[in-house]
Amino acid sequence: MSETTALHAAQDVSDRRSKHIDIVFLALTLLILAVGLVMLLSASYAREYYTTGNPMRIFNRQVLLSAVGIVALLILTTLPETFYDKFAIISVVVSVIGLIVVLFVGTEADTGGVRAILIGPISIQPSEFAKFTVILAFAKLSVRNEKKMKKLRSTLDFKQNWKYRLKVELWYTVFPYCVILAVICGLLVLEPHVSACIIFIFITGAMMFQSGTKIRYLLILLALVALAGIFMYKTGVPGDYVKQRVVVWQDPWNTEDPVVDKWGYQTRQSLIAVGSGGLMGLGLGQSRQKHLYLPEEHNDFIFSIVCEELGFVGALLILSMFVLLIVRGYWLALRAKTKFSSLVIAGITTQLALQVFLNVSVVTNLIPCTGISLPFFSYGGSALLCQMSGMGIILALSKQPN
Amino acid sequence: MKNALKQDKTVKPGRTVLVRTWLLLALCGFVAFGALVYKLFEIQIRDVETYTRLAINQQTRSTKITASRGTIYDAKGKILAQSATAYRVVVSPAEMITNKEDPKLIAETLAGIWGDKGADFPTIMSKWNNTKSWHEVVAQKLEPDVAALVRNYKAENKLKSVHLIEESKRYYPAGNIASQIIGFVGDENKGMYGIESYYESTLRGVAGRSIRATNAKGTDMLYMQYENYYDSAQGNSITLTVDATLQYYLEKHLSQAVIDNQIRNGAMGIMMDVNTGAILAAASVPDYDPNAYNTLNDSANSLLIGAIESGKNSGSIANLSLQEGVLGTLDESTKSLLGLTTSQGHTTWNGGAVDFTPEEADQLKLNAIRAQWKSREFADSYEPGSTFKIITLAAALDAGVISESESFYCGGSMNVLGRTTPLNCWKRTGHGSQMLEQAAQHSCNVAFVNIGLRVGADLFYDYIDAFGLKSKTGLDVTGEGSSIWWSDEIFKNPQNKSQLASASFGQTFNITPLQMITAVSAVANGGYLMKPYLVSSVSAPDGTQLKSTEPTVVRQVISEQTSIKCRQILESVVSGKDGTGKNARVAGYRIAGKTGTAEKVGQNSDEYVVSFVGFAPADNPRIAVLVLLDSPSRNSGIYISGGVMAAPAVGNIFADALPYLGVDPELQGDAASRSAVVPNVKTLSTTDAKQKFEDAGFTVRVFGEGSTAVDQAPFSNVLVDSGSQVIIYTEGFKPDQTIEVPNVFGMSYNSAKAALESMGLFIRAVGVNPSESSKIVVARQSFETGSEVAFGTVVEVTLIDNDTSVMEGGRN
Repeated sequence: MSETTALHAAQDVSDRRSKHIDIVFLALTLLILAVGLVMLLSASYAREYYTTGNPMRIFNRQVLLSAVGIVALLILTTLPETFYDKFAIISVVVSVIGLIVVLFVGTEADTGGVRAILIGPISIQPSEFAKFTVILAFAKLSVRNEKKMKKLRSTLDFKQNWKYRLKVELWYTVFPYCVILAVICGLLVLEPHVSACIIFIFITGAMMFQSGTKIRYLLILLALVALAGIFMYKTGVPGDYVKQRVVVWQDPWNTEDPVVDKWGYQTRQSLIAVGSGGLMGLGLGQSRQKHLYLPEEHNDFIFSIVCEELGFVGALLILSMFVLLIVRGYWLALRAKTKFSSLVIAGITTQLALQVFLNVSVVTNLIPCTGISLPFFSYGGSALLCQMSGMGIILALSKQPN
Repeated sequence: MKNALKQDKTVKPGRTVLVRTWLLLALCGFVAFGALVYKLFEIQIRDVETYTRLAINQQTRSTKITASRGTIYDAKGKILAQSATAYRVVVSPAEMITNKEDPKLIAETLAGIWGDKGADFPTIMSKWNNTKSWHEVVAQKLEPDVAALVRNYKAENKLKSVHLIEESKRYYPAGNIASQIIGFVGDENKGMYGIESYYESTLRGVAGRSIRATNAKGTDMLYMQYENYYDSAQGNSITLTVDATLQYYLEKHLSQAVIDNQIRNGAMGIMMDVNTGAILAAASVPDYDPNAYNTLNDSANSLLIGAIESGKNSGSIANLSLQEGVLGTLDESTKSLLGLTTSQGHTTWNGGAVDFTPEEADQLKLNAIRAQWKSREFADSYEPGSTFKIITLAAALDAGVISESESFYCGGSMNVLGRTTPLNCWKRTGHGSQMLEQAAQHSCNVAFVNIGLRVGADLFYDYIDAFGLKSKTGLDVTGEGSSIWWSDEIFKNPQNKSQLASASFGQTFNITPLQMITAVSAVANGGYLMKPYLVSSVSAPDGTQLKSTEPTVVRQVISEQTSIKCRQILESVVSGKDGTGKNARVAGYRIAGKTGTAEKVGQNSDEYVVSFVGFAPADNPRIAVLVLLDSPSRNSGIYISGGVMAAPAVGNIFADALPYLGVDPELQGDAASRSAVVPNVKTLSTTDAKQKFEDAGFTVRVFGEGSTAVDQAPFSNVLVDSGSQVIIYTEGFKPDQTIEVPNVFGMSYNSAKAALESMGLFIRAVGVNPSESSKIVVARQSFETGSEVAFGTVVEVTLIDNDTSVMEGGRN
């Protein structure tokens, strides 16, 4: 067998590999998207009916965006690993530029903060795009740094001089992540969009963890994050909302406290929706809390409506679909041939898991209230497009041979 | 090497990466979701009820639908209390703001529509200030016609902030009749006082609810037509034993007695069916109109309050002296607040204390209003005085310690073991030797003390107990009063018989009028103590009878034989020439009874409670009547005595009630000779007519010269006194003038008859036989002085014996 033949054979294998995407992952994605659309219709119907008279308005827009999202997913699926490898750094730079631009030309979101750039009828939230571009960038950095570390690790200096080793490890496995994270979080705080920072912090942490950063550094970083949190809580910098949300979280029903009474309304309404759903729920479309009681019912609090209409059983089914998708995502990461792919797949999966977890935690008051949307369910073009893109990237990087 | 180069570029995921991916999978895929599932379980399964309740509370607006209250009927099916639909008007400031409606215009229009039946303009304006409120009541219990005006106004202007809510309103068609027995329905549709209160749960029914789902803005959830309607269940109806007609008679004569005798502290009366214990009528004067229960509808009382209010500045309440007759209706605390003291039968004002604050004036008014709500005949206790000799008599006869053939001597006073001073009879000169029947007729204290002493304290108390005088009767009223007796230790002290002696003629203890009449009914009906009751049956709204009260015999207290003896003796108290109860006589009926005049203990030494308790017919008793007059004024000129003041009232009540109950009068002997039925002489020739009248025992006067009697006066078949002059009108002569009724009050029978006949009126006397005593006077006339009546009208006068030597009475 000549070299050429061998190469050809390898190419054959690679070609064959490129033809097969993970059907299970794709099917789960589309299933969740479909269920999410149905729930969005139900959740948004009442408010749209009362306020605009067109109960289908939000649903129609989301359907259109879903179609765009599917197209994006399919396109991204066809792209080779090398494409993502090449554009990893560029894309994160573009995202950062976007985050800078939005500070100047952005429009204010109804939840406060300048978060979106309006281009005609399309509004783009750079923070959403940043979420998966940082994953690409981190993966890329991680692979490149690992190669460098590999060389350095074999040196005598590295083995004997702990100061040098510390310097190398910090330089290659801690600082690059922290710098990117700091830039992005800094820009997000300026918007301000603090809740997105939480996602970025967790994504960063998860990616550092997965890519092999030593646990001791992660613990130190974790401690720093915790200190920052305590600082914000104690001093009220950058805003009183940290404290407000913690007080509400502790007892949302303590309406004697004017702070809880004022800021806990959303949480209380969410709990009422979730709780009154009971085991089986009120039935699809039968939510009562969506009749102007629950704010953000089509957005961050859509899962409250899910719980109210479909009950504990329905909520569990939907969470199970997410779990299946997430587990399948990690499974694909474990099966990935390259570290880059593995990190990207796992990173996007972790981001998805985090969003679902944090969103449902907020809805159930497991954690203090923070603005995190539910992937595939919450209304929002940029988020949906990015999630679909993320799924597309996972599918692209996980193409397996038969 | 191309391949090697490519290989160099590709970094395979290392072991650390794989392990950590697995860890992430476990954490993000399972642990995190486990926490969520647990949290969802907590909220959706464990705390589902809490959250469901919170959800329902905020998502639904529930409107109470007041149940229609059950009807109260009298014994004959006449409606005494009835509920009808009324309307409540509610304004919603929140909707007024969202719909940009004009609050001032709405308030003006609404206040204009309902006048004083709802909130006035400033009050409505103040309601608008509660800008977040959806529900501010501005009018309640509006009649349907007024509500219709509001509805039209709302519809014409498409008002969103004005709402009409159906509710129920209580009507009392008989007004003041039986007001204290019925009670009234206060705010929140809750029964207050009387039957309305005691039978609240029976009458109330079950309130319904209309529940509709609303959005957070309070309007109906669009497209989700959720409405649940829980029917209200109408309350059950109650039929009373009280007969409105008998009640009317009782109240009429009670009020008359209050006026005639200048009673200062009100009057009470009960009429009981002696054989069943059913209360046929019961009243306290003054009473009130349950349709306007918060008004002092007694005009005198209103005047009094007016005097209080106007007098507090001028420092003079001279007007009060004019209203003395009603001062007695105020309770003691009110009196002391007023600075009023009553002594020697006169209420005087202690000039110092009339500087009322508005709160005090309000309190006074409130006290006076509350006083008229109470059924004092059931709730208050009194000292029965000589009426109680009925019980002493019955106990002694039943115990066999005395006999009818015994004679009792009264020398005007007697010594009693344990008393430092001799016990006086009301007649200081003494009654001399008297048979048992005469002792009862005389109401001789000395005789009855001897009878009581013979019964002995132990047996006496046993009878008191057996007659139910120590315990509540169990009548279906709230707040039945209790009696007050000496402890056994004191009463049964063999070294001191003064308590037994006083109790024998009805003093030094307190019982309720209800206990008294129940015990007397037992004496009358053959000895059976009945449990009194007010409600004869309860029916469902559709008319099916749910419950009916059967008469309950509590126990037999005395034998049939004793009962018969008592009836005979008590009848003689009314029918006998010397009977203290003679003023209760009713022509044609056999009345039995006993008078009572008791000094009020512990209060002013010159205050009396005079009473009479009787039953009829004496040989076969059907009803018993008790009338109690609290604190008569000496100013009336009438001798303060149960025989002079209360007995005529009871007689009048019997005179009305017995024919109504279908008891036929037996006109014989004395009664037959006193009155005669006027025959019909119309269309007869003048001579025949004259003859017919003369045959019937009348003298005749003919008007006109005609040969035929075209009309007569009085009308045929009415009862007038024998020997009256009747009139025949011949053709061409028919007077059409009306006559002013003269005042015959206080006249002797003959003067009254002459005065009336000279005016062309006729007399019919009831009460005592005019020939019996020289001190017979007219105590009442059936038409007020100065009222216009037709020529030839029969004026009924009540005669009483005002002979103080015969009548037991208060000391002068």
